[in-house]
Amino acid sequence: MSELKDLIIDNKDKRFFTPSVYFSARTGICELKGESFLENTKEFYAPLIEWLKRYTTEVKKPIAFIIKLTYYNTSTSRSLLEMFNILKEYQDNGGEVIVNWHYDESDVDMKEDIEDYMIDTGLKINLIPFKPEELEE
Amino acid sequence: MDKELVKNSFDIDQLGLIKQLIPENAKILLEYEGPFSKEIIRLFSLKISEFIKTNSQVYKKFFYVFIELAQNVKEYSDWRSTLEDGKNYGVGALIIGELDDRFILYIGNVVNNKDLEVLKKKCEIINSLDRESLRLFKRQQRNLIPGTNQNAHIGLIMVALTTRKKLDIDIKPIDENHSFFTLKISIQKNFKQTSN
Repeated sequence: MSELKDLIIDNKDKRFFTPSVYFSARTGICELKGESFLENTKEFYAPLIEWLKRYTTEVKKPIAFIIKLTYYNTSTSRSLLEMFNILKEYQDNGGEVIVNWHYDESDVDMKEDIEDYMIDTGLKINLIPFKPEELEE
Repeated sequence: MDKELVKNSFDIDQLGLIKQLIPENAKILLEYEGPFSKEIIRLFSLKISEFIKTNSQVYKKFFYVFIELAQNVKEYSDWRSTLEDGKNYGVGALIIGELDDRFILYIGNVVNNKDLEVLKKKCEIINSLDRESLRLFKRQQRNLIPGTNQNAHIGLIMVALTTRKKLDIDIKPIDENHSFFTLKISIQKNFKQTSN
């Protein structure tokens, strides 16, 4: 089987509603940022889910999952759940997992939703509040 | 005229149906009826950032609710239209407006009466739950294997959670098998909630 490659979807042209993805097989740092209001959510997230499955079964090194999503829709939230479940399973089997979720400090709705993911999956997610201007590039 | 171009269309004044529900003193900022394409949704989402500049929490809530509900129209409206890009979009209508104390989004589309019963029931359940139960309900629904309209129903739960209000709906019969379903959303301008 071929070696797991980095998964990069750099949304430089700012396609509508599409997040950027930087998953590094070498460092185990996986970043998901931007907005996710995709219509073909499953199609977009399938390679990410597949990548995580391979990382957690083939590479088996520590993983830092970093989320900087400003907005995500309901169908995205299902794909996020699927990814968290993979990470939780990896952790339960001895994998080293850190999840950091950066959220706008004024966004109480998102904070509540992140807490619900923790209740749902049993995965510890570090809540990292930021001021909106800090994410501007 | 290519018959394939328009499927399942209806001879109704959607905007008229919504307009009669709008409070008299509301200032209308935007009104639209037609297919809910990705471009239209994007365009309106940019407009919303022009309308709501003062309070970022209010903007976030309004923006979020708008996207969820606009995508619901696009996906689940029973009135379908195929555009030049060859894609099939749901047709619906919306009005965005402003009152002294709140912004409003009234958004509606044609629903098949078979689906309407399920939808009504879902709204009733959502409206009967307190916040904690609603969060539990969301988690349960999110864990289900995706089925038809499943996302739409979680979307409604998310709307209730985000607006912190009961779902306010209006249903007008169109013909034997169809109705026009409108959601009346309002978000207070002075919304201020600190993190607990």
